[in-house]
Amino acid sequence: MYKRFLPVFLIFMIAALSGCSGIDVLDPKGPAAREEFDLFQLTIYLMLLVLATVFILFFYFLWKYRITPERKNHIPNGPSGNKKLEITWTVIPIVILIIIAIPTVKSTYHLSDAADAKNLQGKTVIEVTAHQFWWEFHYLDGDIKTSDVLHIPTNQDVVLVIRSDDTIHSLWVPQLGGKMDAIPGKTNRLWVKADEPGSYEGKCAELCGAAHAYMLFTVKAESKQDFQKWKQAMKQKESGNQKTESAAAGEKVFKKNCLSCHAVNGSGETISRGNAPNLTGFADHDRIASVLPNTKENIVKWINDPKKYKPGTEMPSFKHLSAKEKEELAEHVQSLELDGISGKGDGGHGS
Amino acid sequence: MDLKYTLWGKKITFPSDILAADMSILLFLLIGVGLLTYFKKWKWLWGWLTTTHHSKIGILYLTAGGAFFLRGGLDALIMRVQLALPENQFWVFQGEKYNQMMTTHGTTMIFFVAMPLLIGLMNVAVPLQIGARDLAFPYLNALSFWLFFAGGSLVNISFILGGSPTAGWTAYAPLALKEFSPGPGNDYYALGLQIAGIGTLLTAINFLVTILNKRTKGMTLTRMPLFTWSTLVTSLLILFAFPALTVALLLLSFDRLFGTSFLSADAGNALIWQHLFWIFGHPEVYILILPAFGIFSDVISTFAKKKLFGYTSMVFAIVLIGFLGFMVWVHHMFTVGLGPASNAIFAISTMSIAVPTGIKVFNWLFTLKGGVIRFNTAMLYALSFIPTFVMGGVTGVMLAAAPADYQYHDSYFVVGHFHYVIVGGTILGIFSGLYYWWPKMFGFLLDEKRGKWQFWLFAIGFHLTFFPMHIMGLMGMPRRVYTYLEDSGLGTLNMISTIGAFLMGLSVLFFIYTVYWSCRNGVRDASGDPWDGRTLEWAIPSPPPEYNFARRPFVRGVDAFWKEKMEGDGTFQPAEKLKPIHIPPSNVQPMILSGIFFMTAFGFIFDWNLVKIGGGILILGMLIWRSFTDKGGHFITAEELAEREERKGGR
Repeated sequence: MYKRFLPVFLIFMIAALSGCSGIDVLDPKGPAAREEFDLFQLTIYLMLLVLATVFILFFYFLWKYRITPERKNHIPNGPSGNKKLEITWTVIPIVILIIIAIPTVKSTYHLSDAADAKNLQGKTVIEVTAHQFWWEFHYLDGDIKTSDVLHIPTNQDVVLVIRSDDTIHSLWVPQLGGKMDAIPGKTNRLWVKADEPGSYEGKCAELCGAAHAYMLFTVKAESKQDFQKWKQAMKQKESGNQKTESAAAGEKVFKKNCLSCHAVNGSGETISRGNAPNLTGFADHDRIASVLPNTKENIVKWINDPKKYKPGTEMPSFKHLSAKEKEELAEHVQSLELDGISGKGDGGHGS
Repeated sequence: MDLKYTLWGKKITFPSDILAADMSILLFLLIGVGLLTYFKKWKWLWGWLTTTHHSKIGILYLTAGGAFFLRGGLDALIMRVQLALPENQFWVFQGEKYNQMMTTHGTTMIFFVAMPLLIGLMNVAVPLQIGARDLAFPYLNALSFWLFFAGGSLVNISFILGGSPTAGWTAYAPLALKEFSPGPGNDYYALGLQIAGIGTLLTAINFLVTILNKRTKGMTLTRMPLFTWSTLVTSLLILFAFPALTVALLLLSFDRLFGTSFLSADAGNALIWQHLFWIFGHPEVYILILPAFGIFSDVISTFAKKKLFGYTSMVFAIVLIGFLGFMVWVHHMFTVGLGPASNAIFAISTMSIAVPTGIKVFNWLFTLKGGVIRFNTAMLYALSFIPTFVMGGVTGVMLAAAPADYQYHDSYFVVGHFHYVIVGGTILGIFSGLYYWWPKMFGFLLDEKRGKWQFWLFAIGFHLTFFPMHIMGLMGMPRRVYTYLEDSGLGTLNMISTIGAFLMGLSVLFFIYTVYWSCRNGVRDASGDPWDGRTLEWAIPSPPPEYNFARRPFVRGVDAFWKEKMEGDGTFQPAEKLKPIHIPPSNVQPMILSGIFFMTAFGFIFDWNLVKIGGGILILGMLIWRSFTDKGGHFITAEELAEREERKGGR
């Protein structure tokens, strides 16, 4: 009777195993994720073997021993136990589990060692602080802070030092390797490494409050040169030369209303303000607060009622600004580009 | 759609969702009162509310658990509608409102649906299976039920009284603390579970004593039916696991209500909650699955007409699973950062549970081998459990490989996994048990044709709902999100899942219809043994008389009744003479005492000192009252018994 589900099941499985691009976990782009994917493959093949054995026996027995008119009054007198068989199906699973256990233990230690505080030599260390509901990335080397976009150099071991400012969050970048909880009062480390440049989705995996669903971020992996260039740009002041007149007016509005929480200078030293994302390089962000696509109309919508789009956010409404001021403000934040780095990134969720 | 008006200068708003809940509650109450009055059933209702008899309490558990099932299912459907489309805005269920639905769904389904429905079936079947007249402590049994009901009502009613819990059924600190979850929501959670938990703990003690002490002559431990065995082990698990929950909930309540900081990150440690919760929470999943294993063992051997293959190893496997269940809690915390040593140890201990589970699966398979398999609805549920549960089990092994779990953890893969084992194990087990024992409980059979329709709707809906979740998890969908972006490519699978959920909902409604239809037109169970049963409960009439066995039977082996059928004339040698039987009195105290617990909880939630202190005094008073009224009831004399047995033609 379960026969009708088998084909469906198999199709799903084949789709899953063929590693089609939509399935991030099965499409690793770095050694940590690949190690986890190897374990996934090993376990799923062994488990499919187990499933096949059970399914075959199950349907065979159901068919063979179903009640039929001839067997209606038959009283089965089969054995109600068999030592040899029972030992067989105790020993075989133990063997299978040993096959799984060895790489599991190996990999557990390897992944942990790769992020260990003792082995940081030659690795890029980035401090991550999880907030309700955004991610803050602090590059110790250079003292740069970004929010919701994590830049990393390719082919370089990166250790993320993960903390939380409020509730428990969990940092997850499926394509670059696993996840690690951000727990207040505790510091965790996660090793990531990207093989190739690209933009990878990141998210919060642990329920952290109302806007848990929108606690997204992007990892932008760039070649070492591009990464250095970006870092230099972050350290310099925001570009001002392309500003239109209304954007310049918007800057004034921004200074008066937004600067008390949001910083627009990448350098960490100058940021000592509240619990709000750094907006440096905002023009490169694909979405406003990971929620709305980064368009002028959406910025106005967001300013009017942030809680409507991101429940639980701390940002208050700035409805009281005039329509013109909002427009100017939108234009200003959209002009926040980094010197020497042009235009929007190719990134976005669902790369 | 919100209703707003001003009353005595105060602005009052009823949001539309709460209004809808209010209206539906009011509607059901009115219908209930109307029906009771119309059919003159108030006295009949009173009889049920004050009963201390095990089978009636079992039916109460099934009814209340069934009602909560509808609530939990409704929550699930609301969640699935919200998730059906990317960036959906269904009604008001985004953000905190969604978290409320999701938390209530999980909490309700685990604590107020799966457990009580299983306990209901235990109440109905276990005393009969061991040849007992009732549970060891009938009053306590009633109290357990009412405490569960009070706790469940508390969590359920929170929605219309200012906010349900929002931190997930696992209520992780510090999210569940006042600082991040202000408002009363999580107080309902802590107090509701605490009160229900007392009831569950008392039930466990009751079943332990009953099974160890109330077996009829010849019913040695090694001859007990598997359902009774699993009840025994489950009770032990409850006895050891629930105190951890009690402590965890106390710490949470203290932090929330009295401003202590055991679980806050500043002065305390947020991980204390996770450890305590999972030291309870992991055994809890075996508390849910072992009784289902028992039901399947009984059902499969009955409908395959064979003694269970490997009885001894089946029992051994249950005990071993129960034991190992306590050794693996950290696998819920692989990403917490406890270090490679603890992750590796707990990965291996978790995997090892697959061995006894595997033993059970193959024993079930070989019970089928050589049998004469009848495909009754109860059996269909039991059979469909095997492939479903094995699919859930293999993903369990995959999750146990710690580094791989860094990818699956808290993703939809996990949601898929645990629904495959909990729905594919516990809920299928409950349906199987309901179809199986229904005639024993009510004296008529549930209709097979309609039952099979209901089964297929459920099975198809189930796989449509939960299979895609594994893929969604691998695609990077975290659990407990109320939405996802358009370009994440998750839309199609979520839509399939939602369609499946509605099929399951339809199936549950169809079950209610089947009960109604069978109640009017169902086949009466005249013999008391509609399935050609193998265990003691089928040797007495349906429904059983209030004393169950006029003379308790003498048991000669496993599958006692089958043995008598094969080797004798199908009747038991009595183990005792006809003698007067004591029937314990009905008692209204359990309901009142639980009602006081219920009211007192509000005192704590809303910080009304009078209610708190008053409630405490009343509870103490009730306990004193009880200790002076522990007598009464009546005896059925030997003559009366003989006459009643004559009339019924009972065995």
